[in-house]
Amino acid sequence: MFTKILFPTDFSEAAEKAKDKLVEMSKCNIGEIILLHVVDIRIFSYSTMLDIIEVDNWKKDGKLIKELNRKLDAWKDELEKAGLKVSTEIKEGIPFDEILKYSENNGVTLILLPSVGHGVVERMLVGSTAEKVLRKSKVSVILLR
Amino acid sequence: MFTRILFPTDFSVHAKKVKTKILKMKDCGIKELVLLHVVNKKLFGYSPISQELTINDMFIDGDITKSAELKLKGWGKDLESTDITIKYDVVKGNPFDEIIEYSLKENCTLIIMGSKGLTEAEELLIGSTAEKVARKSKIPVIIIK
Repeated sequence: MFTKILFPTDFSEAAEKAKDKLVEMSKCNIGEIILLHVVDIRIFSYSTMLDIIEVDNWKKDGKLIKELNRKLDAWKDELEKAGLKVSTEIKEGIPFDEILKYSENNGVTLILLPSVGHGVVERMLVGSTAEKVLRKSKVSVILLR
Repeated sequence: MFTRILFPTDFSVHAKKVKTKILKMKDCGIKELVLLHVVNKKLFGYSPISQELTINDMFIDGDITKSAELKLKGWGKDLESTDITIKYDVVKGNPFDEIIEYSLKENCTLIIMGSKGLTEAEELLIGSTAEKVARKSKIPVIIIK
């Protein structure tokens, strides 16, 4: 079950918490972890990075990808320090869709999801991806809180 | 996170699959495993134990609980090992409410359950009880597909 864990991250607070929980799970005989970030083609979700994006040229000059790689590598380092085997991956599309596709095409055995929010607003903001993955995944999922 | 695991079962094939996964979680540091069966107030869920009951028995609370207890203890036998304490419990009510409440009352650290139960259609990816538990639980949840 823990042979190949997919950890999709949007670097949110909930994902940060999930990362700490994953460290707690490190004794569980985990094979490998794939840290995945999906560049949401519906750009509006990048409000926190708008200063580096400049809407039209975020792709051309690669600033966004560079920044994402830097973030992913920092998370990778942290997890590796806990003795875990980690690789990183960036995809482009609609997050829930890319997460499902990746898990099915790469033999993922478990998808790690941060907490699905309880409040209506929270659920709209944080939980919608997690909720869709939970519903549509053909692979086992762990919801962390 | 794995010290006191709650495993709600309805004795379906999906729950059986969860058993095989738990047996592979030896390194996770499980101390206690609680097998819980919720006697569904809406009686239609009882095909697996109904052979042991007559229609009349089903309406006598005592008998259905006792019958479920017996079934549960037999069903969980292969999970028994020297390192893990197993507790068997049967409660009555609405499965999803009872599972959440039980997890809080008994200070469980994780819920693990099948994605579907007895009454769900083959093509469905997640059943209503599993989905509600995953959403509303205050502790981490693993849904086995």
